[in-house]
Amino acid sequence: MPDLSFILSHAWLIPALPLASFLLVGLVLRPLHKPLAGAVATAAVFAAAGLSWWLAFDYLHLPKTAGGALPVLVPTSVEWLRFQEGLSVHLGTLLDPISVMLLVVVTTVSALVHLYSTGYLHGEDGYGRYFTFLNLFTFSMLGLVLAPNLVQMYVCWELVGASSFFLIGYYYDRPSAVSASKKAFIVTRFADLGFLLGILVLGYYAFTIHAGMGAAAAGQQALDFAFLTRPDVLSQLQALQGQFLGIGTLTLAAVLIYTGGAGKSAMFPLHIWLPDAMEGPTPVSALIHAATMVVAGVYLVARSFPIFAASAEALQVVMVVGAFTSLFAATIGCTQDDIKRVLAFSTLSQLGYMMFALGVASYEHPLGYTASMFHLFTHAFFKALLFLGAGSVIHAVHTNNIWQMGGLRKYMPITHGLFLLATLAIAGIPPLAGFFSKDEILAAALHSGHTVVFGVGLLVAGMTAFYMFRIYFVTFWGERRLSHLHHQDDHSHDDHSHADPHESPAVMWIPMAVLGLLTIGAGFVPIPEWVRLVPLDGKLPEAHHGVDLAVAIPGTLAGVIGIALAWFFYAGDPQRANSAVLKLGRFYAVIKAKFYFDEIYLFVTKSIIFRLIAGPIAWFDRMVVDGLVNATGWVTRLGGTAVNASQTGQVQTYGSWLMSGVVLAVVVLWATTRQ
Amino acid sequence: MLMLPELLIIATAFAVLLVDLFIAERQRGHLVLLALAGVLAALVALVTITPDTGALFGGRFTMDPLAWWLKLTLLAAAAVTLTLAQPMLATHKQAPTLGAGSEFMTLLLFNLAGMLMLPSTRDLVFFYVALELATIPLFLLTAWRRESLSSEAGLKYVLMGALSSALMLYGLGILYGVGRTMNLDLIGRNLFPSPPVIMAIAMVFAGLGFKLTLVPFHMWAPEVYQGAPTPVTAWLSVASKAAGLSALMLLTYRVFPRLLPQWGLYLALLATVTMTAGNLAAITQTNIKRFMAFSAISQAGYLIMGFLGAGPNGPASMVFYLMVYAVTNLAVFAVIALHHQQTGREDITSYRGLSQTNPILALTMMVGLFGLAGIPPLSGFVGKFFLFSVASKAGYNWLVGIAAVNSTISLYYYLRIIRQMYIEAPDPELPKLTTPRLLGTALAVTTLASVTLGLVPWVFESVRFSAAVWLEAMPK
Repeated sequence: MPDLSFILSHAWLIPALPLASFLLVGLVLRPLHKPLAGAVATAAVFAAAGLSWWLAFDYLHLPKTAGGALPVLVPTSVEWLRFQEGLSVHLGTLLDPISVMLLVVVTTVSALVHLYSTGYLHGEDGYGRYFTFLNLFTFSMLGLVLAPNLVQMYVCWELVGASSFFLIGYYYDRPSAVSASKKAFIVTRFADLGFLLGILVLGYYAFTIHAGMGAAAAGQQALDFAFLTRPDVLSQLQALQGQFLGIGTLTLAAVLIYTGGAGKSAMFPLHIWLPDAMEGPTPVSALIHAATMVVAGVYLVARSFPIFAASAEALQVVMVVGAFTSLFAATIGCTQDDIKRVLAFSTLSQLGYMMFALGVASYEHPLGYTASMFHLFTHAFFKALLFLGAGSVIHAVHTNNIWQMGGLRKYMPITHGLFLLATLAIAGIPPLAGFFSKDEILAAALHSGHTVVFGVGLLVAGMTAFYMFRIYFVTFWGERRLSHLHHQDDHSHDDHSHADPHESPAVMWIPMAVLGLLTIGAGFVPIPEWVRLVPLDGKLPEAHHGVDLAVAIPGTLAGVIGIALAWFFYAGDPQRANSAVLKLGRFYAVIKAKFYFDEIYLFVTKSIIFRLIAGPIAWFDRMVVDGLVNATGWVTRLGGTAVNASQTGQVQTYGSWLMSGVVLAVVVLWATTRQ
Repeated sequence: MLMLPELLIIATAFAVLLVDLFIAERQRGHLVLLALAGVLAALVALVTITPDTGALFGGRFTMDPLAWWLKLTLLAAAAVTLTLAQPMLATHKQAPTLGAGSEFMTLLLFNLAGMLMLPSTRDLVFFYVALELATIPLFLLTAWRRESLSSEAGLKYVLMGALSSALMLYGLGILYGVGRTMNLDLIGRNLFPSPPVIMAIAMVFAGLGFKLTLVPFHMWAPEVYQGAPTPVTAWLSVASKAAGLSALMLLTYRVFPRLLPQWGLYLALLATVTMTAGNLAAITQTNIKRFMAFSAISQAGYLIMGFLGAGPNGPASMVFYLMVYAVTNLAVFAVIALHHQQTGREDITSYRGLSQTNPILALTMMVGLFGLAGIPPLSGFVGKFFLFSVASKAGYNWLVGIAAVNSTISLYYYLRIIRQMYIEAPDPELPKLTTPRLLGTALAVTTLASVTLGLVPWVFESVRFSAAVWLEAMPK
């Protein structure tokens, strides 16, 4: 290992800063001084972001390995839990191209969101609490990104889920927010059960292999990513004969781990929590439910990609579920009226994009891996910008419903410009960030021979452009419709709700402007050169360069068609859209009701599980188990009374008990002693 | 040097008695400091000067590593008991029913000297004398408060004690007759299973079971615990048990080592009956001292599980549990003594709301009760764990099951008191308690010990090492 610069060897400082600030703000400042709490929290994350950029700079200037890849470093590793030799859990930091990339993304977006929030939540009661949890989230996410083993990842994974729960339920006096936070927590937690089982299955076999390797595995732990992704370990895992329901052990472990990832990344059919999670404050949606936490699932699959690559079936699952989710969510996105929900479905769709990009990747066609990470990188910026823009709009008009907005272009020029920029980016219009990464994904699908997936991707690209421009036109163009209808808004400042909508303050638009710059520039960052799947032999082939016109032209065309359709239906005569909706009739209604998935889940849980399974069990518990427990207590008390009855207070009784004890002792000893 | 702690204690006992003759009434309160100084000097002597092996009087008095731990426990318990008694002794003048303070301390110190000698004896007569010295002063101490309940308890104690002593002496007589020597190390060689030996063993067990409060030899305990002055109850619950255990270990491991494995079933039954009866009876108690008596009975049931199985783990875990039990029980009794001294109440309901009026006392009491119930991470849990694992390794898994069920029952009744302290509203009539500095120190030390003994691994490791050395030196 070469001599590391200060920040590379002290990468732990980056998560430590938000953690320290979390403790300081949460325990000390929150009740004392609200503005200071916000300022400290924001400053800590800005400092972490600064360190991350410094770290990324130093990391990219490290000497490359013999194969031409960027090195993988574990500068910090502290033993935390020790089960036995080879099975101890270390807390540490793992630096490789994807973790460094995510480090930069998470801290940058988080810092901007912190800054934006100081304006967005100004004067609210929960201000200090909000920043406490935002810091906790940032720390947990950074811990997850830097995790060198599955256990640290799992711990931070749960911490991330918990902080997401707290933040979705930020408006805890609102029943919808409370149920949304519960829904998010329960659904992701349910998926995490799969993750945990996957860790256990993988850990069991990996430990057996670890024990069999002796000195060859010295210094590595069975659950370290570095150990699990060693070619010799993978081939041993692949050779395992164990079968479960006809599924090989490695595939089973990979699919179980993927289940956890699918829960966090809201893949179909575990997607139901993400649209509801929009009940949280909009900056939270920007940070957690667009740019960072929801990509944790994608990151998990990418991080353990060699394991998935060793099991073709698992990768197949990732691809099919990803592609289906992207199409499914895009369809629903075309029909929603709530601006944040459209963005939520768009996030789902884009996450599906990233997932299927990983699914089409392999060691023969590694482009999908790169493309997925590249899209994760660019998407984080323009999706965060879209959410912050939506937040700025909601802040101004106090409603989430796009049909109550309209004409905002005149009142909020900065927001309008930045929102348009981000919408163009997500629609894949060159030269904005989304174009490059989307192009890369489509190229990966086409060149790896997955033509159907490529077709789906192209279709989704067109639909994305359509529904995004739909909300853009409805919100910013046309005439101003209703101005002050209080409908599920984050804010209830009655004092200025009757006035015209106005531009948001500088603390809100400056972070948006920074994200706008990143949206323009992110596509030119040579992520595809840095983030590459390192083949098992460690030798990187020549990099793929430039834009593939065979893909770029249809991709861009799909986007343009989508925009044109949106313009046709929503920018001009509103009757066009209405008549189209009427013609679609029932079909439209089903899509608008999100294919009734929430209702199906409710039916299955409430009517089937609760009534048919939980009900009888509860009855059995109350009547039989509790009855037995109470009976035990009753019998025990009775025994106590009986024993006490022998305590007569008469010395004669005591003496006879003593003597009978001697006699009994003689009998027992006589019987047991061998003479 | 070997006998230095015992000699220091006896010297202190006489010194207290003599000084009491020459000082003014108002200075008598300081006598307890003299006694305490003597005990602490003995403690220091034991730790620093006394070697942990060696013999005196032709081997009749022998020091061994396990005896060292027992003596350490006893001396520490005596020091705590003296601090517990200090407030009571200070009120001697106002309370005409109390005996003289110097007598109390002298008796306690003589009692302590007997107990200290007990694990070192290697001769039947010396053993019996030490055992009686460890018993008879307790009768007097129990009846030290001159009022009906205390006197009744003392009388019952004397009668039952005489019966058990007679049985014991009879048993020892038979052993001498069969073994044809006074030397404990040599008797065992001549002992073979035969009707007289079995009878002798049954009687010896009865005599020592009386001290250890094993069922059905325990009947004296509830009355005596309730009637005796609270500091005496504290001392009784710890010291009598320590003396009984050291005597039983002396006889079983030294005299009957070859027979011990065959008595597994008997000991297991004894343990079962003891812990079950003690626990069941404790559930319905309303008087806290009587309640503690049944709690102590059930603890004795857990304690003798250590006799099952071979190897140093058994004696080591018994001695370790005794230490843990001593500090935990004394911590609880410190609160009980304080509460009784200042409120005059002994019923469990008088503890209600203690967490509001005296949060720190309630906390220490709760820690102590949880320790007795064996809740991790307190030492009580660790001690019980070692005992249970000894029984389990010896193949008595059913006994471990019963013991676990009993631990659950015990948690219920310990929680009854905690419930009074933490959930019920305080009784406005009861005064807020003030903690004297000496007692507060003792309470802090014992509570700290009851938390740390099990957490610091080298304590049990050292005891186990001593037990291994001790077992190695046994006559084969």
